[in-house]
Amino acid sequence: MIRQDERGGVVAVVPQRLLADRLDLLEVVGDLDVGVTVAPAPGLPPDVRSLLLAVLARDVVDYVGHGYRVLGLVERDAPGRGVGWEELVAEWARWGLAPIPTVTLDPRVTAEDFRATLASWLDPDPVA
Amino acid sequence: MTPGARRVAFVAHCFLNQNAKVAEFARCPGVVLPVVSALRESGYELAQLPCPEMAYLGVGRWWQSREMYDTPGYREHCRTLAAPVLAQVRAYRAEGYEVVLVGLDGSPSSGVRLTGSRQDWGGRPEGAARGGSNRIPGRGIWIQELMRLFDEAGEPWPRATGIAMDDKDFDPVAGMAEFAGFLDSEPGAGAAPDARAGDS
Repeated sequence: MIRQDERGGVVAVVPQRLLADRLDLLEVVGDLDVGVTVAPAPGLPPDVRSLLLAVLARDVVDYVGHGYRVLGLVERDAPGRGVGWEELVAEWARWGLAPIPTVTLDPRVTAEDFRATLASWLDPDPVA
Repeated sequence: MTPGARRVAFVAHCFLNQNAKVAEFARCPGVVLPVVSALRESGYELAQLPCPEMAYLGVGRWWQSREMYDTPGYREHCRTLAAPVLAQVRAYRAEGYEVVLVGLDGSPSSGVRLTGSRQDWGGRPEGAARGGSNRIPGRGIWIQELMRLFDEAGEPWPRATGIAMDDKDFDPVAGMAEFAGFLDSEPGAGAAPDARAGDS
């Protein structure tokens, strides 16, 4: 990864829900120096949704190929894990990319608990 | 703001993901938190626009000027990405949302009021070493193609503004104050000044 500016080098694929009614969690993501790329909402017409998912998937391929860390913030019980997971995995397979690691997002999680979970994933073995 | 009204802001991709920026232009690690906080405090939901530059040339792209992106191929790429945006805006409006658009002023693609121009760039990528592109009134290629599609579809263009984070002289305090003023203005009252002078 080219490091010539303030970018953090970590990108999260997130459900649209995070931008609708959980902006508190979006702020936690930002506070932990992670950028987000948003998966299309489930209710969109299938052709629109497929196009957006393909663009997102190829962006992820490019990020990983350039050394960025990419994770999925996914919802356990939502269709497509909230991000169109099956479609993303299929597109990644076309480009030879294995599924990215995920952190499960509980829809009822508090910002504090979410911060702890995500921070732990980002830095699983922090120096004391 | 009308009591109970729902609002959604379509924001340029990089306001939520500075990793998508061309090298040297990321101003923070990931999410531009002052932008998100301002939107949240004003009662907006968010939607993220795709980044046409990222999808076209990737994260390792060179600096480019508006003139370099002004090709039929790039415009066609932008139109492909514009169709889902139109569909999403229509879906929000059908549910009664007020829609605004927040672009990145100074960007050759996403500028709403200012774009990045450099007529003499091309060939060996060393032009940037002699200084960045010039900020001129006008819209970026992506915003132009979005507007064109909305116009062709008979869909009203959202109230729109830009935040000039791509300008090296950007003043964050003044810029965010202006942005907050835009967010809290009534629909139809706070549209960005027309920038057609720089449109082609």
